[in-house]
Amino acid sequence: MRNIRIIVLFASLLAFVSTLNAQRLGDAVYFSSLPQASQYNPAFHGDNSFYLSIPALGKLGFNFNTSGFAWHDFVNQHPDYKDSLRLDFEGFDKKLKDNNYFDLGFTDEILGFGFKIGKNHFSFDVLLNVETKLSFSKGLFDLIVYGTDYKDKHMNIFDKKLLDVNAYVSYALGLFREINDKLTVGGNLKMYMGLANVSSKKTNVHLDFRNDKIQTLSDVEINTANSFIHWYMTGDNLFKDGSVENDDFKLSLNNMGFGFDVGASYKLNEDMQLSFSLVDVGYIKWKSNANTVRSKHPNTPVEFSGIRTSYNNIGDDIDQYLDDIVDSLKYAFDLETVENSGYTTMVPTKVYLGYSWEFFSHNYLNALYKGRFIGGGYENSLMLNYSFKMKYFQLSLGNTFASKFFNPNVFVSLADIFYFGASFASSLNAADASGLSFQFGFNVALKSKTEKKTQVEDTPKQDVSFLEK
Amino acid sequence: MRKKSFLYLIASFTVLVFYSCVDENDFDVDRIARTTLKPTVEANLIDVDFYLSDFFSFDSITDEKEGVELVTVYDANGNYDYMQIEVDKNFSISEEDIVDFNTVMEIPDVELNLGSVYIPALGGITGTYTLASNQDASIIVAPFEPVEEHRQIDSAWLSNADIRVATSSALPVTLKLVIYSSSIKSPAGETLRDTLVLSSTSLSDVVELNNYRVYLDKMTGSDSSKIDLKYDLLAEMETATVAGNYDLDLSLSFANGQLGLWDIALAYGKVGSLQLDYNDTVFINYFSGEDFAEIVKPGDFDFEDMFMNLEVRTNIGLGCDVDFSSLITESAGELKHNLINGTQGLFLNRALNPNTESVTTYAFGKNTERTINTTAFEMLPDKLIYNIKFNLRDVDTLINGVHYPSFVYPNSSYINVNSHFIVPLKTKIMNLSTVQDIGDMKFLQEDGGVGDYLESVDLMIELTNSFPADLDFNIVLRKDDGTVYDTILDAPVHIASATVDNEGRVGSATNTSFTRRITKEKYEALRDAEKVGASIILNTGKSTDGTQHYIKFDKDSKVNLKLRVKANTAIGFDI
Repeated sequence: MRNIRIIVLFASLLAFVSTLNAQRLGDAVYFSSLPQASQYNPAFHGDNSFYLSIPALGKLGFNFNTSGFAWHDFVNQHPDYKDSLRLDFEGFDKKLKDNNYFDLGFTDEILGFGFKIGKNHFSFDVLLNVETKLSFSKGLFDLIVYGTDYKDKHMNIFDKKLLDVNAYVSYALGLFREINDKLTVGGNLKMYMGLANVSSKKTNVHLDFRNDKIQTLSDVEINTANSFIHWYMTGDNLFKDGSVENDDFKLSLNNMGFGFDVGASYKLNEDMQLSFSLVDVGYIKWKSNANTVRSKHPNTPVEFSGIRTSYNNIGDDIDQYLDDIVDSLKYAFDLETVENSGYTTMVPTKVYLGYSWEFFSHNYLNALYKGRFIGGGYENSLMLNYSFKMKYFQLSLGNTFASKFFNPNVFVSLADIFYFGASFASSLNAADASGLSFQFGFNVALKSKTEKKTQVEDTPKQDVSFLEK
Repeated sequence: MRKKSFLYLIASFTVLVFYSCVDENDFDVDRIARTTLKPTVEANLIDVDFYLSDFFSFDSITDEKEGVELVTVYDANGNYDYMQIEVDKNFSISEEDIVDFNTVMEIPDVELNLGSVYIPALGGITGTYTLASNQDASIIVAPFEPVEEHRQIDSAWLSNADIRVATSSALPVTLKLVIYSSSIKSPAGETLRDTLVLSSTSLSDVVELNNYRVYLDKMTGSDSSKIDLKYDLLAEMETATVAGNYDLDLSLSFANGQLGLWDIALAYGKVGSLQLDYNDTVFINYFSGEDFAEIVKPGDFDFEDMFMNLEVRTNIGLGCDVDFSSLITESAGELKHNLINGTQGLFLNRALNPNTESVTTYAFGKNTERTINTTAFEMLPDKLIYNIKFNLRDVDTLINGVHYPSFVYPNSSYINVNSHFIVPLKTKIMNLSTVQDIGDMKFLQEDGGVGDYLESVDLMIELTNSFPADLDFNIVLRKDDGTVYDTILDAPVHIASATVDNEGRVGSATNTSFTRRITKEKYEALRDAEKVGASIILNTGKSTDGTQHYIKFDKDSKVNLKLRVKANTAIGFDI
């Protein structure tokens, strides 16, 4: 019966895989025993009575993701010269979707510590987060590769988004409590201090070459803010006589926000556990050095449709026309900065839903569903992994099912003092991976006595019957 | 054991897999070869009209040329039919050429030697006493020189003449000399009868003969002429008049002793045979304008329907035979052609009466009896040389019993000639070649400009031809001195003429579309060109029966060219 349940469960999970759409794998798989586990579910604080993450090294994570393309899609072996590589624009273009992106993320736990008093665990973390995302449409590369010789006579060069940057420091004060043997709940109160932000409200650049003419339109509006320096554009036209100027450096702490995390874990039985958490429900209000960069002449069409000329002036007229086109483009694409009284961005909220099953002593099968609200959309993924846990060593191997099927990951922990995790998107080969994330960290942790006692009791009894003979 | 083995297997697999997850060679950017992108840009480029007037500067034909006009002829419905060049040339032969100004007729004085004249005593009776009557005092007029030319004046209206009488004798009494002449008539036609008075206080007198007509009677056996003149001599007797014999010498002078042609307003008579030559060279250079001359070479045009109207006006009463044989055109290289075929002796009508004008017109060329040598104009002359001989002769005319003697105005005779050439621009053009500069493409030479990134270009050309001529079209590349060193198209493209009917009228335009690729080599040649030209060879179109007709050109007819380019770029860069 039990085996049937297991089979049904995993079959359901596999069916669910087809609905997953996450491009970005994000953080590596975690172990609930790690102190840093509370950043994913406040109900997880490990088995430590006290921990201190090494400053700036408690959690150092890096990730990059694409919308599905990999290094090899763009840089690969030259077909004619076997010792050389090439920039394969055409192959890369075929790999692209209508809307694409490339994002980089960086996380650093500047400070973190926690301690347990009775059934309550307290924690405090200071985390630096940097997320950047550069978006572009397939039309950009269609234009580079094909020019106007493209089957669709209409291209989006940039559609809606161009650049999004979010850099902030979060201060989290956490509490989790064991309600009973089965249920543990927790939460973090967070304050966000924004460092820099770029939010693209709209970045629309279109190219149309139907009806015997080439027409381009642009409309850009991007909000920016930062805590360090005031910058602005000058001149009548940015591309003619304009420039970007800035004032002196001056630290400003007006980019603030608040948020919270909530989470819970529940033991179904001795072997199975469910968990749920909602992380980073919050916002940041950007007020310092806030600018809006926008098109000075939005949606001003620039057309190239040829010229009427006289027979003895063709060369000069063409030359003049090309100059006029350039001037028109400079006019249509001209940008200006407008002081912004402030704007609010939501911190990307994450949803985690986990399941863990110790199917054999020290051997676990885990499932983790992750969802993320970002950029007005929602993306999700499902990770399934096998983990092996010993007292001072833990290993996890698994795969995340997202927009692509094969996304392996690995996680290693040594006595919860050092840990390392990495995940690859779509391939184990870095050159073929459309995403990569890794993190590692160092902690100082003291196990709680209750846990030690539990571990002794769990040691399986040896069969000494042979001694009795 | 099983557990540990499983663990070791998993760990080994993990290490093995992740050990091989990064191949440094995949990320060795130094091995990235040069990248060349080849996007294509296709767009409409130019829409240009080539007008016929761009090739043939019709205005240059008439610019700053007096007497030349480009005229548009319309049909009966008021629609454009064709253009024609009209050239007016006026010249005059004046009295200086017609009549020798220095000719003078000598007229000796007439001495009235009256000898001793007896004046009787009338016992105090006053009144007129006739001393002599009906005495002949005819005036002899010497002929014109040279005599052998047989010129003579039969009669003449005098503009400046008189009869004077003078004496050196002491006059005892006032004398009246009554002169009368059948040869001298007043403007009203009355014969002269006038009285000159001499007295002791006035020893001369004059009778003005301005506007009188004097008849000069030819004397038999002599070249001289005689003016009939008689006189009566009367004495005005007074009570103090003393009777006695008196010697009286009177001298009669006519026109101060000579009658020059300047004294004569109108002369009837004989001019004999008088040949006048009119020589003039007119620079017509109608087709030597810079734009026109570059295109149109002698022999390229075939002028049909060319004709000339000649109109001669004269006020003289002489006949005139005119020889136009030597109306000559001269082209480049001093190549001369007679404009009028054959010997064309024309007779000009004379004015019948004084103060009238006669007009004689002649037409040459199409629909006339007199042909024009059209080749003379087809060689595109720059000079028109007039060597015209006017042979004047006496023509006494009798019309309906009325006699019209020959006459001439010594001081105001004229023969005015107006030649009116009409050259309809209805032509056939055979292999007329022209290259029209369309500017340069120097913007392709700019460093970092568009030109640096073009590998080849496809030209998609759509031509709408309203010219009544086939065009063989190419684009030529020229050096600064105009030398053609390459062409864009390997061979000219043939563009059919607009439709032409049997009357040579242009119908509908024809459309031609074609695509040609300009290779990289041709493109480099284009970039180097100092001048780019449209080379066109024209042949006038044919009607459906294959006949090449004379075409009526419309200077506003045009060829429209729409050019769409597909630029095949090659943008190379290194990392």
